[in-house]
Amino acid sequence: MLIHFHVNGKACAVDAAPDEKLLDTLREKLQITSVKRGCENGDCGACTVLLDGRPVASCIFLTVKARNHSIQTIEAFGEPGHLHPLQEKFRAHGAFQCGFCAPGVTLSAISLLNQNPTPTEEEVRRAISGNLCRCSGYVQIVEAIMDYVEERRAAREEL
Amino acid sequence: MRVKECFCPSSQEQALALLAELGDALQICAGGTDLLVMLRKGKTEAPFLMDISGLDLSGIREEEDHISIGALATLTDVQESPLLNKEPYRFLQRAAGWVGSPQIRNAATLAGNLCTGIPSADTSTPLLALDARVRLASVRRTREIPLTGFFLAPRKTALEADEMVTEVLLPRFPSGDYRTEFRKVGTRKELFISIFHIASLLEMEGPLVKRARFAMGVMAPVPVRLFRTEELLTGKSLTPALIDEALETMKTEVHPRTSRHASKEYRMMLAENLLHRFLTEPPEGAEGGNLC
Ligand SMILES: Cc1cc2nc3c(=O)[nH]c(=O)nc-3n(C[C@H](O)[C@H](O)[C@H](O)COP(=O)(O)OP(=O)(O)OC[C@H]3O[C@@H](n4cnc5c(N)ncnc54)[C@H](O)[C@@H]3O)c2cc1C
Ligand code: FES
Ligand code: FES
Repeated sequence: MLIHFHVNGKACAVDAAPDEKLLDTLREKLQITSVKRGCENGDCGACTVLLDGRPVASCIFLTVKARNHSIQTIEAFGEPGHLHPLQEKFRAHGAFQCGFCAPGVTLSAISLLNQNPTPTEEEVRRAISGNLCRCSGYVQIVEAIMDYVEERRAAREEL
Repeated sequence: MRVKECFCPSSQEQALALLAELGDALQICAGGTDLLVMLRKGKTEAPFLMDISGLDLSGIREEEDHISIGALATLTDVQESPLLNKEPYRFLQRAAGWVGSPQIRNAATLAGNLCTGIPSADTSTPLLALDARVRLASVRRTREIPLTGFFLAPRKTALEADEMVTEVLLPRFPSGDYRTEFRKVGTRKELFISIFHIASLLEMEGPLVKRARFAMGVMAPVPVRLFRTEELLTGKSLTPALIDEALETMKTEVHPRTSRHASKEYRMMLAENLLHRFLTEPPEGAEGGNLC
């Protein structure tokens, strides 16, 4: 079945099997391997993408169901050499170790910040609660996001 | 078994015609968060899938005598709906807000949560306590049944092979002094399947209970309302003696079982403690959340 959607702002058409998952389409057909294959059960969040701006688990999302929607992966926000300022914060705080969870965590955080630029720490923790990190214990991840939130707030207040 | 085709109807008529033609061979995919896991694990089979996201069933609307939640409304929609951000509906928002993770809630639908028919379906208890009804459609007829008649056995609902849920309907309540609470218990703090959940609603008139509604999940093969406990409390004041009596009555209305996740004794202890806590200190506003 021919499916049309937007990926990172570009119109795409893919021929999808009836039970194909968005994770497989993005990784195998569009070579977007920042979308990680983890549990494939909806549990770990490594495969998170934004669908119309909201995080979903692409491993349990039918490609067919994504037709006519807009999908964003981490490439929409930052690339090597041109990191998103939140990614710079993660780097400065040493937030990630192996980095497997990083694209998903970053997308969940960006989605939250787009809806609510001044979240509390509790709101940040809940927003990334669907993203498991086996390495870090989350402390530096949350600190980095809060640091970004505070810096933005200060910048806005100066204006 | 291989999935042969995924239909994407753009109208309810088309969807119902496909259901009438293919029946059990066709599986509806709403959010797909339950279905795709079941398919991958081989726990269900479907030669044909039907993605219903093209139907006009999204949205949460206020109608004359009820609030209608369309079958495509996601748990995030429920959580964020201003129509439900008032008593006595807030415990439904809390329950929706504790299903899975943001990624799950952005795709999963409220109707799909009920249609799984699993005892741990978190929104089932507040919906039961609210006297929710489900509207079912097929080419043959449209019917409306109370949610109490919808759950038949684990993973078995009153849906017939050619039927689909189109709406979940909540009655409107007169303004009053409502206290509602949803609690679920699992083995960790986020993203877990409930080993027990409870939805409680009290409407107080001064010191007296005007209306009491309780529902519990994973305490019987299907989520249950505690009608006898409710009746015992109605019209009375919540004295320690009455609360003790209510707990004893509750115990006769549920039949927990031991599973690999929790023993029946532990589930009964949770039921007693959480109902006791709600009755001794009914929250001022809506309370809700998870415990582990
Ligand atoms: C990681 C993870 C965590 C989860 N955590 C929870 C949790 O904490 N609490 C909880 O309750 N559930 C949980 N679930 C289960 C699931 O996400 C929910 O039950 C969800 O609400 C299902 O909705 P859906 O729209 O995705 O349903 P789908 O998967 O699309 O459908 C589920 C079933 O209902 C049928 N169906 C769906 N819509 C209709 C309709 N309109 N008419 C007739 N039949 C229909 C489908 O054919 C299918 O059999 C979790 C799932 C995952 C993967
Ligand atoms: S791979 Fe999708 S949630 Fe783990
Ligand atoms: S840094 Fe390794 S999983 Fe998060």
